[in-house]
Amino acid sequence: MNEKDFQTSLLRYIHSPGTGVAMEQSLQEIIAAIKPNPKLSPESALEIYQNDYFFRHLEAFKHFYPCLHMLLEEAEFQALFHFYLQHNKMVFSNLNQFGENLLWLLDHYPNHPDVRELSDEYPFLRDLVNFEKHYWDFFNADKEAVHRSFENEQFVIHFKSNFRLLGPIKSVHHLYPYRHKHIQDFLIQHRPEVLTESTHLLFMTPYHQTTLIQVEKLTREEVEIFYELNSNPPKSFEEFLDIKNISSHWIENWLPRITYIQSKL
Amino acid sequence: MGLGLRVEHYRDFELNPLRDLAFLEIISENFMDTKGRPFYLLQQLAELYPIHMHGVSLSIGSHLEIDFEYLKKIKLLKKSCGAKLVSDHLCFAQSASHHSHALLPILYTEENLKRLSCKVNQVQDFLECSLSLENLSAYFELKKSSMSEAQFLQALCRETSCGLLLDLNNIFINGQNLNFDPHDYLREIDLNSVRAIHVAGHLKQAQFLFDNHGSSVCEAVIALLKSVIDRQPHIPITLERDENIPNLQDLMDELKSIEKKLSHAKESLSNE
Repeated sequence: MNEKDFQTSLLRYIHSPGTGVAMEQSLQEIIAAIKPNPKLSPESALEIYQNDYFFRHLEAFKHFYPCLHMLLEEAEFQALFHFYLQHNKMVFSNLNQFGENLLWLLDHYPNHPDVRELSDEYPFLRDLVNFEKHYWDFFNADKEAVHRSFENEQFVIHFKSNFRLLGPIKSVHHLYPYRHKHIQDFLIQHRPEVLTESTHLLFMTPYHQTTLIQVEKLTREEVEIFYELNSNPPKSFEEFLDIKNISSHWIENWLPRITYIQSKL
Repeated sequence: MGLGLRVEHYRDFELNPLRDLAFLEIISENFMDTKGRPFYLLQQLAELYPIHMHGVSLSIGSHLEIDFEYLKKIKLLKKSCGAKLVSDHLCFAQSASHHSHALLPILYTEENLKRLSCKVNQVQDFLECSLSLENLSAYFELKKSSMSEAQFLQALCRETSCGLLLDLNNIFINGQNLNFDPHDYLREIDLNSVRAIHVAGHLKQAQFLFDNHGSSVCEAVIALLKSVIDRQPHIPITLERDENIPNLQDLMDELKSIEKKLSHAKESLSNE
């Protein structure tokens, strides 16, 4: 086997080992090209690369979909990952983009048993995937354009109508029934000092034809900023920047999610 | 010493960009297709630190044509952050339609040396700068290789004037897994061609060591580092961490501890 064929066979084997006579023959040819090593057999070496390929992409998938991972928990998340790995060609040189095609795949294979089962169990699955994808779109969006949108608009903080702030939770799934509560009600009922570091935020926001859902852990400082915004809404961008503890990270991380600004980008 | 910049530490650098670091190393691909937060952070940091660009997708050892679209992005990124070093791995990682993100070993032969010399020259001409190539953590070698990885890298450096990014953790792991003495490997390397050094941690499995960059640098790798720095004291050293990423302060503490060990070694050498 020449090196070019070896590379093709090895990559195919690592990506999807599979079974059958052709794959077994290919495996034997790969093994025959590997130098014997008393410490690590060729079979063990190939297994290391297969596992590495699997877990490297699983980690990238978790990184792309942290809320989905929290929602589905490990076993269901890995089942979805298996489906994704089998049906998605890795075309991105940047591993951080690995999860980008999930929404397309969910729409493309709605009747695949794995997809249908998850969609039945979590009716908002597609919305959550859509939200997390949009999060990364915003993460990588041209910041100049974001700033221009501030300059062109009269700056008014509006909490999106179905933005929610909730207390500690064990599972995202448990939050879903609370979706009809409103953040302002919660902020009136609870002072910042009762909120702990484990406060979670849930909001569901109409976005085009769908609904965005996000759950994230908040720090005490972040909770206090929400209180400040609610009790003394800033009337200009300058006033907004004067809020205690506000940071560029906060602006980028939270502002588009809780205000109408995102819809104007 | 410098640090590999990871997304987990963006916020720390945004809040306090000034850290006691000689340089920062970025994963090139993480900054190529973005104009958002990574891009702006990099612009800020490039004002404060020399930037080393380290890629994982060049796949120079594959039998595919060079991907000039990818190289265009590398060139653009280099221009935007003024990178002082551009590196990738001596490996193959992709087929015609699929990025595997695995770094796989190639055949070390005279024929491949000619093929790769030609490709490295093309890359360097296009980028208008020198490329540095990193030695791999590999779990097998190919039967038909007629030279070692160290000999191949050294010959490639001679043929193309490319640089070597010496990963000492990889040499240590390979020594254990593939049964050779890491010091023998280092003896084959002309340290004048080494543009930077990587150190990282690994995972000890029952039968082998796995290169996961998920723990502190072990003492054996520090010992290799000392032996290199004794011979060539001014090579930039990057501490890499990609799994179990601790907070930035803990990583800075590890970096300082390595620096301390190196300076003790230098002192005892000068006292002798």
